[in-house]
Amino acid sequence: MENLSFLKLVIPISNLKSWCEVSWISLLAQKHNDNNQFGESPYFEQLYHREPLGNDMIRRIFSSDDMSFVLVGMLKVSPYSGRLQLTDATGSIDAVVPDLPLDVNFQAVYEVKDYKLVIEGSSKKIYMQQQYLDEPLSCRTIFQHFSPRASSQLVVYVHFYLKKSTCMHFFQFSTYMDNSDSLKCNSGEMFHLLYVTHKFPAYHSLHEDVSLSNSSEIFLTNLDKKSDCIDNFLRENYRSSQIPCLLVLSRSNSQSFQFPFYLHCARGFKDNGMLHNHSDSKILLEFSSNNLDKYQMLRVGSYYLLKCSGKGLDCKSKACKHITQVKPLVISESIIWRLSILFDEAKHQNGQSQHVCSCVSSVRNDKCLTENFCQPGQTFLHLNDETHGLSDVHLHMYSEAINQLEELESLLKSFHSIFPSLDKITTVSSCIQQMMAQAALTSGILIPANELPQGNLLSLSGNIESISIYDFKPKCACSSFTVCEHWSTCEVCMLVNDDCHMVRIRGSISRYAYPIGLGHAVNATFHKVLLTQNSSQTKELMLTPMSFIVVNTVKEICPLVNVEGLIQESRWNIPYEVFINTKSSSRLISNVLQCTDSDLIHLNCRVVCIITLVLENQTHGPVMSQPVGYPKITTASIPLLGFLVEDGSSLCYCWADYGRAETLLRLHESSQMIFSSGKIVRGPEKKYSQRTTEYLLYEMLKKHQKIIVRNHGAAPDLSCVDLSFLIDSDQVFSKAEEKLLRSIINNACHAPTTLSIAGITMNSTSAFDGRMEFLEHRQTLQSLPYLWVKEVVPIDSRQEAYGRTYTLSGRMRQEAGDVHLSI
Amino acid sequence: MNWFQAIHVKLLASDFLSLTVHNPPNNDPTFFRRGMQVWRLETVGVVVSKDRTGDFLKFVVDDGTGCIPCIIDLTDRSHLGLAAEVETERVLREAATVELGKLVRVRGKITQGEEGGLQLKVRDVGVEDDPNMEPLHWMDCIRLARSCYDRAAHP
Repeated sequence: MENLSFLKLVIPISNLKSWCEVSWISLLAQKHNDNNQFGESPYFEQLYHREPLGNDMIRRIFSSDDMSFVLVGMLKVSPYSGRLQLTDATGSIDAVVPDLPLDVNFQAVYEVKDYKLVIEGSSKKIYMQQQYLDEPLSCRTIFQHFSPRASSQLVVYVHFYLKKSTCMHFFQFSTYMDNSDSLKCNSGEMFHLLYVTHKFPAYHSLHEDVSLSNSSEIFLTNLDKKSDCIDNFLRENYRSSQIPCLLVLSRSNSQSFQFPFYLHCARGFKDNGMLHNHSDSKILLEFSSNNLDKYQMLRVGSYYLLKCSGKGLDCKSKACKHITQVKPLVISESIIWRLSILFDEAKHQNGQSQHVCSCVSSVRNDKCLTENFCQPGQTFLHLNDETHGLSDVHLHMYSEAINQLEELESLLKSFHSIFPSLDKITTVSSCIQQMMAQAALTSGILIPANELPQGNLLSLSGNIESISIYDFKPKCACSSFTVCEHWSTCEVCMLVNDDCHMVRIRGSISRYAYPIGLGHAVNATFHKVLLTQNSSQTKELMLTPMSFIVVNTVKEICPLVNVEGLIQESRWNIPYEVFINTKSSSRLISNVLQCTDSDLIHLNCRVVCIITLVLENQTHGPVMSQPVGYPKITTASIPLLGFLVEDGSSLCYCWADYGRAETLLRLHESSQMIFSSGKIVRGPEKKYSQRTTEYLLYEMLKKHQKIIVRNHGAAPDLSCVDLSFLIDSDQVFSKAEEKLLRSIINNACHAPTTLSIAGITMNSTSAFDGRMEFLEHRQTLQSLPYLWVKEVVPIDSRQEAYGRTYTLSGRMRQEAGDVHLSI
Repeated sequence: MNWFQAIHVKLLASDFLSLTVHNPPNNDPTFFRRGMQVWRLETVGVVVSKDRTGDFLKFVVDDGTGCIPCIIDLTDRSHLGLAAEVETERVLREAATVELGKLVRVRGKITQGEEGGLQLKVRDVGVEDDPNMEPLHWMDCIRLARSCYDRAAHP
């Protein structure tokens, strides 16, 4: 029998999406390490619709090497999102194809064997589904178990290189050919050399034309092909306003064609031997709605050749619409080639020629920005990849007669002087320096509320720490933008950082401007964001209608597999988390003693007594609650807090630190107590003001460095009166400072809020790691269970009620059954 | 040490009002629920009555199964030291939040009132903004009664 191993399984795209969802469920189940916890109750079917934030989002990158199927489809640009998609008769999937040429054949069918599949979703979504992933993937399983779904909560896209894909030649389709017709260049033709400095984002209406802005142009003129004239010509014309070059039209797997050219700067002038371009040599290129593909494939910072619509060498004639029109329109017939410009120096030494090639090509390689973005061994993808020979044509600028390095450098300088530079792409740290400098200049200047935001535009690159998406327009019935098909704009708020600092970027973004891959843990470049001042005189960055976002690199986000990894560390604000252990909601403290060490326990309880409080002065990076652009600061931190909790059944001796301790001590509640000369005045809504509890603690610790508070009267009446204060400085511990600490402890012990605590049980001496001095006189508490708190959140009354109802109804059914049997 | 003295048991008002009171001579009265001694109580309910008399604030909390009288001592003891000053300030602040119709969570010590009836000497009181906390409290009472208190009374 003929060997059919060469046959590959092709999965329809709609079924692929379904497979992605099922795989996701399996992934979550594996990560949570509890195959039975989902149970069968419909109450646990789905928990909370939330947009994926940084804290609960997972991104996985699957390689085709690990898949048993290939993808087959055509490329198209979606009319709804403006994104490039791989499509077949069943559906479409967003696609990132870094080496997509401008003249790609959208009628061709491609077989993609080498790809990366990216799936993003929230780790909190739990679905009740059976798993079919253990079965081998076959045609039957594809259509039986992975049927298309109406909606998906996941973000799915595929990344592949066109040159590694196979164009399938079908009879009824015109094929994608590496023919030279698309690269034909006839004698007498003229091209405009364009440098893209910015792209305006497209908007949702298909009737609106999208625009490409701020391009600089230089005319490129064809010369006589006679090579014997080149040498003299080069010597002569380099000294004027023209630069000699060789145009090489080629594709990676086709023949190349070479034409001697010279570069003519029609609007340029010479100054001290340097060529310059007029500052007004900028044009807007407009793309009609049916040429959205050309618009999508243009890259900021790249060079392109646009075939001139005029005839003849004189492009100043009225025949050239690229000159006469304010916004020349790019239509389907417009020919645009992506260009790499190479400077060659041929050195003749000892009879051997050596070529030194300096490449002026496309945008700065953003790989340098992502060097520290990904950890060694971490899977990542370059979505904005410039390293795979993406250009259609290469312009070699050379002179065989140039033997001096100085002349080559002069040539390079001349060339650079003609083109305007891109807006410098700053780092987050540099941006913050600008913000602080501008804040000093504008301090005290109030901006009327009804004025439009004002400020400077800048371009910024950094790593997105978290992203919030909300307020879709038109209003969507669902909260997830992945499900809502018809939204056109939304509000986003992103935290972007580098190694040292973090800034917030917020604003409105249209669907067309929302790039594939934008999300948590990506490296992105934000072109032309507005550095402005808000109503509270804080510097912030705003997205504007002309802002353009480019996603450079995405990396995998995998939560830790052990249970500790499910619980996030947070510095100031403990985010609201939904606990995974939903079947039995929470335990009673009276049952905790039966648990073994390192079990994860969930309790609903209240703090009744503080036993030990350790406060320290620490320096760390910027935190979420700080004003935007705040640099590294010294803050008060709580490395250890020992306290008692109760839930009506028993007491538990708990330990916590840092963010958890802050929550337990209620340091961040909305109505802060402002302490003033012994009187407690209820203050306004919490702001970063100088009289908040955090600030007072900070001032205290700046003075004393470390303070240890011990409660000697905890047992048996849970009193917090008999406190001792140990300070680590020679400074006097004032009455006001003592009162502050007593107030904090008193408030914590009498908090009305019931908290949901997750922690691990431990014996009385474990996990203290050199902090045994805090246990020295706790013999009275040794009969109590010990718990190391991993996370603290306010109780969710509805979820708890579901759990109690389920448990109670189960017991009632059981009791009813017992009664029935007894009868 | 009997830590149960420090625990605020969660009982429905009907359960609380049916506690058995023992009055040993020369000792404070003791309170029992089906044979299990209780010292402190936590309840969640709506304030249906409020009366300020001198240095005391008396109010009644209705949890749907009955009404629990509560009393807060507002005596200013700031002159006794910093700890007392802080405690007084907190009590005054919390007392100010008790208003008719508000859903509150109250913890306190079980005592006998002047007329011999049961009352709660308030340790702390706070407003509950989430109305679902009341039915959740009922469920807590039921769960604790079934799994903890009844077993403690009859091990």
